[in-house]
Amino acid sequence: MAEPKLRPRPRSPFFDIYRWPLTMLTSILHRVTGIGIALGGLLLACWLVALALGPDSYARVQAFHGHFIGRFLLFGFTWALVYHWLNGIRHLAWDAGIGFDKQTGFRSGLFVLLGSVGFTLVIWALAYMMRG
Amino acid sequence: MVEFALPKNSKVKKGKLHKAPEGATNVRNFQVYRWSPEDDENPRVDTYEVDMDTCGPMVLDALIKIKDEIDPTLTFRRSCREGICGSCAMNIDGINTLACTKGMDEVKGDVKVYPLPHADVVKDLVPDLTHFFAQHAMMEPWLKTDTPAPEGEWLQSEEDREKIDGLYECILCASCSTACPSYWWNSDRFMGPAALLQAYRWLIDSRDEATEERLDALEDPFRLYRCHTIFNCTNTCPKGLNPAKAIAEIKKMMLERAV
Amino acid sequence: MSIRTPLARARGLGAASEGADHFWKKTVTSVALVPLAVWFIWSLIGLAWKPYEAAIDFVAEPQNTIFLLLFIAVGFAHFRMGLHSVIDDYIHDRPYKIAALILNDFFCVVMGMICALSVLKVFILAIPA
Repeated sequence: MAEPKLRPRPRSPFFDIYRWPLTMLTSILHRVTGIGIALGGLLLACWLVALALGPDSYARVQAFHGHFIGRFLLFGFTWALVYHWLNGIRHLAWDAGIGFDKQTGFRSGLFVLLGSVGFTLVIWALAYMMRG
Repeated sequence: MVEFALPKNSKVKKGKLHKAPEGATNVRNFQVYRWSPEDDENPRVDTYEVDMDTCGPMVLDALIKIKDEIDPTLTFRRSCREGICGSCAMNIDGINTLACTKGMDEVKGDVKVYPLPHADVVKDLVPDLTHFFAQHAMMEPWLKTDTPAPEGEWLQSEEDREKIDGLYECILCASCSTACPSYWWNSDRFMGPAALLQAYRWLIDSRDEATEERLDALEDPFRLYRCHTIFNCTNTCPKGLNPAKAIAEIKKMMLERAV
Repeated sequence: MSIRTPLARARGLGAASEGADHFWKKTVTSVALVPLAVWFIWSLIGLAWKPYEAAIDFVAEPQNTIFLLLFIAVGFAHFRMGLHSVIDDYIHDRPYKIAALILNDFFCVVMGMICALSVLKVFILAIPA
């Protein structure tokens, strides 16, 4: 019931005082990478449109991808995609009721974090090997 | 947009220091969140130096000692001091738990004590849990049947009885719900892990006849589906229960009847 | 200020009888994207250093055209649902929320169309006259 208040109640601290469990980090990264991939979708759109427009525009887009900033964006996009992919599978397992043990939740999170970096490096190593 | 930072009147200021008595050799610092509706100030964090040689082992022991011997204005809820009433839930060392079962030896350095996160503060470590309990009431946590009650008891097989293990033990301390970021942003519409665990406790009770009605009440983008399996509930539960899993099981039941 | 009982507040406007369908569609698109994303990354590795003509040949290959169109359609559908969740979580003010939801739909549909049309153009132009 609404009681007479002396003055408005403050809200207790949350973000800054909570000790983030690893699982909270992996959850927030899932969201961040999801949005990141959509921005990567803009890169994909540019690439496809350039391809449809002809060799000149395609060359320009490829030049951007060869540039330091373009490389950096592509690398970030790859990591985001790999992370979201791995963590997405983790979510699919959860939705099937699997992996809810506290320890399992921590370990699968650690695996996703480390694995995403590892797979990303492997993908880029493969790509550079293709250069010949 | 949701407020990710504390409102102006909630920003925490530096508070007072309460020195340990002369001659205390084994002193530990307690940093405790303080706010009173009576004085016109923002919340602050007071530091209490507590003599560990004359103090019990649990965080609640220290809080009681502070209230008894150092500062009688310190306000907090407590009752059973053995982890079954759920009154003394608070944020200790960054994790929501019960002060009475949290050993001081589990904490490194200064012991930081805050009220349960993202709640309206009534005073000091006492959060307003009115809405939390209203959501619990919404789950109608009792056996609902239309079949006339039998002469004896409602029968339940042993396997079916086992299904409510890990669910009925909830003591409603609100640690899980106030640890959940989804509950922070959407507590007005999202039921939160505690209420949903309770809902599941009745959804899988073989004797209950209101499954349809209970699922109907939860099929909602906010009430149920704001859960994104962040896992904070399961990580923080002082009773070792698994609300995240219970919620996933409700989502499975929803699909089972729709797909 | 309004004086209501805590139960009235908690119940609010009631359950929307919706959510399972959204959840199911997000699951289906996720499952589809598991192999599609692998195919996509694998293809990009192969195309990384290739000239324009090789990229055209790749996209015009029918099974690649189909996979690309699937990746675009399912990907943007999945993103649309994901962002819907983000908006539900963080944006509560009514006018902003409505605007955000509409923009989300527009963005995903338009982006998907632009990508799909580009792929189709490459595919159709490559058909021998």
